[in-house]
Amino acid sequence: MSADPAGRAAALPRLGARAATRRAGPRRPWVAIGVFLGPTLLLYFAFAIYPVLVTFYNSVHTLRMDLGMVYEFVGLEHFREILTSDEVFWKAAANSLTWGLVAPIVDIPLALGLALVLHARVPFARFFRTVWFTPVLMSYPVVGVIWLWVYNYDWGMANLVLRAVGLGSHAQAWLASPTTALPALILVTTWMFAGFNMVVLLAAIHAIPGDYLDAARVDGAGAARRTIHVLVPLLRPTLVNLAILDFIGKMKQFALVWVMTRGGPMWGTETVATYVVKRAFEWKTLDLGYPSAVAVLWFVIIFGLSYVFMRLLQRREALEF
Amino acid sequence: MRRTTIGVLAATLILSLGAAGAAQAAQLQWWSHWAVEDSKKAVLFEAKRRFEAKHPGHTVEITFYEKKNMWPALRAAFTAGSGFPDVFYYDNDVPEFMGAGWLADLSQGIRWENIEPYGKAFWTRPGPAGKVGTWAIPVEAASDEIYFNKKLFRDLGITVPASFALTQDQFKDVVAKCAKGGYAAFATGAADREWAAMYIPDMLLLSKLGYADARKLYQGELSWKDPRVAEVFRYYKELVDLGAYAKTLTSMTLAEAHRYFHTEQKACMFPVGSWYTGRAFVPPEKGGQPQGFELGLLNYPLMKDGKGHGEKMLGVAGSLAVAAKSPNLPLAVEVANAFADVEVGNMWMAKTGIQTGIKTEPGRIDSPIKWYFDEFAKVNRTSKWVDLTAQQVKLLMKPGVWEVYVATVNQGLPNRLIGPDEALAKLEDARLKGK
Amino acid sequence: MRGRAGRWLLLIPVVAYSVFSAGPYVWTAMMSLRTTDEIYRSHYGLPIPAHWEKYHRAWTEFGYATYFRNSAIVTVAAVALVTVLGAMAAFVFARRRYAFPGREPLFLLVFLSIMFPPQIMLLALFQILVQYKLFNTLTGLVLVYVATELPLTIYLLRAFFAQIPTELEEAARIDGCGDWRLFWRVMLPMALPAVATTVILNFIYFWNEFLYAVVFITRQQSRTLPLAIQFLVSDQYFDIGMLATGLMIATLPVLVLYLFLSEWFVKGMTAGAIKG
Repeated sequence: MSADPAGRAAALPRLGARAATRRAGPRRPWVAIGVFLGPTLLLYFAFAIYPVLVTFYNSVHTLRMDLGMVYEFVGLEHFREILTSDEVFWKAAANSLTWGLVAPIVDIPLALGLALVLHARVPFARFFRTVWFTPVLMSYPVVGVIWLWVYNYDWGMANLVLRAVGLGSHAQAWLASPTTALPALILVTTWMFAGFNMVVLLAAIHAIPGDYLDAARVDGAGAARRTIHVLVPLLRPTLVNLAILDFIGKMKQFALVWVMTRGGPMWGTETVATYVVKRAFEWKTLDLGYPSAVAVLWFVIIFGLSYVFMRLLQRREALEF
Repeated sequence: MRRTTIGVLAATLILSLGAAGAAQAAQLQWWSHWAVEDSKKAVLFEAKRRFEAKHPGHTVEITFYEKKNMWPALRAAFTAGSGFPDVFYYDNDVPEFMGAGWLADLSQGIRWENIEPYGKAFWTRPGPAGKVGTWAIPVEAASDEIYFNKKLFRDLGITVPASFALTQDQFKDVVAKCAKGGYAAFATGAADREWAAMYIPDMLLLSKLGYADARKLYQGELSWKDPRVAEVFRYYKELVDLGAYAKTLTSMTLAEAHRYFHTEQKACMFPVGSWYTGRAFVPPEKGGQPQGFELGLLNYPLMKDGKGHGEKMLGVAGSLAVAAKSPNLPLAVEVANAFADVEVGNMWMAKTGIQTGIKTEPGRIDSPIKWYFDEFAKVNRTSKWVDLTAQQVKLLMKPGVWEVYVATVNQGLPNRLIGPDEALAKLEDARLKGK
Repeated sequence: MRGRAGRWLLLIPVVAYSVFSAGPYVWTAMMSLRTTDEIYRSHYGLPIPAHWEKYHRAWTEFGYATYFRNSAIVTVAAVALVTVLGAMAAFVFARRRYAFPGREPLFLLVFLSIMFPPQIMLLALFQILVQYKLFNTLTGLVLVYVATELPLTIYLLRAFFAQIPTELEEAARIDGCGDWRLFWRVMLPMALPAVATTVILNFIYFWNEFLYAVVFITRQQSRTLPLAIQFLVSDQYFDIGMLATGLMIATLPVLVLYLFLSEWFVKGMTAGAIKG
């Protein structure tokens, strides 16, 4: 790096070239970005971000619907009350968390099993795929009504099956007791989403390059070992993504509970989402601040837990951000 | 492909905008409950017809709702200050609407001389900032009754005393006999009404405490640990344990409960508001009771040493309110005014068989259900009516207490999930915490 | 499992699960062809004779024609909008050429909202709709739907666009393609399998959406099918037969759509849309 004019001269053109590409290449196409991204951002900020901000703002106020929506600042008072003396919130949080944790543990392995069975070229695979996928095509009100019938004490399918196989003494009103109502609802969401998760996993299996499996086959690995040691690790990113999406979905669960049990009996199926709606739209308090605080708190919890799970379960393959 | 996509988009947007533009202000909007109760709807349509005849050019559009779905929609619309109807069904489920200033004061502009004074008094209350007004027209009035299936009672060897009131022990015996016979004692379905399983406990509380103390209890001025209250709850728990309710209690809706009682006949009794007739006295294919069903009525059980023997709950139920901010306020009040008419009252009675807050001329009512009026009058000849119903209890309770009452009395106790002492402890907690 | 016998043996758990999976809706389908009286006599009878006229009655007498039309308008418009807008945005988020400062945090922000419990935004959204005179209009519903499903759509399509080799983009540019044409003529056609996946997902979601509809639509004439079901459930619950017919009417369109597009759907997933 001493005085070496020749060397410096030799370096110059290269420097100059680099500077030129930097100027020409990365010049950002702002117009295109604006055209492509503009409408989305506009819509998104108006109908998603803005309401969320309003909610955060609401959570440190009382906001009486009956008094012309006048804001009264209360600081963190709502959060203090939620955390220290709101038993129903804790009950609802426990239920939601149970749902959020149990559902992926049941749903994902079940879906994986179904996908593997179809992948093993079981006869009529396409037919079964469609049959299993169908439940997720139905709306929650539809599913809710059907399963209210299934759980009917007198003539519902659940008790019919039990009586048919000689377990009639176990027949019961499944939605009438807090110990059975929540599992009964979790089963409904499993019924709905197992087929969906299965299709996603099946797609992921098909996407695995044949070489991997062929190589394993050459190594003499049996079908079961190939599945466990080769296939499942390859599916790991998809499995983790599905589990986390399942977790988030169940932590927000509202509609099925609303249609089937409204949170009863005895808060046995109350979720945070139903509690928020009840506090906002059914309680005589007419205050929007408190339920907003519950929603904010729950958002933070969902976000925090999702982040922790992603960190724990995913190695490199983060959710791409 | 792009052009067609945009074309479809534009077309649908224009279509939906057009649909929105069709809602013109010249037409009054009226939201009503009672979607499937044809007998009540007939009266509503009569009122609408009378209004439209008297005010040519103006029309009323009635949209029917299940009220459980109507309240959140109304609340949201009033809060946002737009999108609410001019006239709407109103009742005790949402007492907070009065204080919120969403209802128009009807003390002027209504022919109140045609309304029963107790009905007017019921809706005359403090409104926004404590200013007293009259907030609704009492169309429907209802008493809490215990209907029973006469044939089943006969089959089970149950006799009803001449007073139609059973003692505490007799009542328990009836429940036991029904359960032993394979029937539920009560055809209650609590799936879609948060007060459906409250009738019996509320009746027992009234019988034991008397009206004054029952009110105090609900208002939070009397402890839930009061020994009389505990006694009622323990007695009630005995009834539940005998098998008073169907296993389907939680999944059965109100409409289904009617059917369970009169069509399937799987329960001896049906404690419910006297608006029972609104759903029951329609043709069987529309969910009404079958021909030849023998309907009877009972008075409330007489609790030992009770202070409220003979007292019976009667209160204003489905009413009509006007939106304070209606752009057509005078016209909207006129719609409500159409109900303040003795002829409309007569029609209501004749069609529905339910009491009304509108004045009537009993002599002039000619109805195919006259036998029911006679039966009703016979059972209630000595009833001392008190101004309260199971549905109105919510009105008296502080925020938060009602929700606990629902969880414990509508769900926990009848489903045998908790005992009486646990229920009372939770209620007392809520009372002390209530704001 | 290579043996034929092994494959047929697998049928046992497969059929067992299928009974659990299909049982409830096959039962409902049968009830949809029976009258309530028949159902109360025997809940599991076969639909003989089949009362196909119930579908006609539901369609005309119970207003399903209107609800169906509303659902169709809302769903088609929202799917079209969310697909076009979402694809354009995903394109910008995916390709290096458009990496402006703050792009990644912005994407994170968009993605985050998947986690927000939607219930409490209801009232704020409601006020906005009223402000812009969109309350009780299908347009308002469409805009809210689009905003709620944009994040997932962008997320899925971005992963797909990111996989398209840069060489292809460069080749198109050398041929004189601008950003606009590059997107519509080259990128979007290549992404069609992934687009099909989002179309199906969004179609199912919009067709079945209930929470927003129940608050934003109060006029009977603007109700969508899930709303109509909810209204029928609460008061005509005793009319099980008719309700079952309504449930089927509400479900059949998505089922038909899925039957037609399911191969595309699987292909889109396979192409890496969900692989993340």
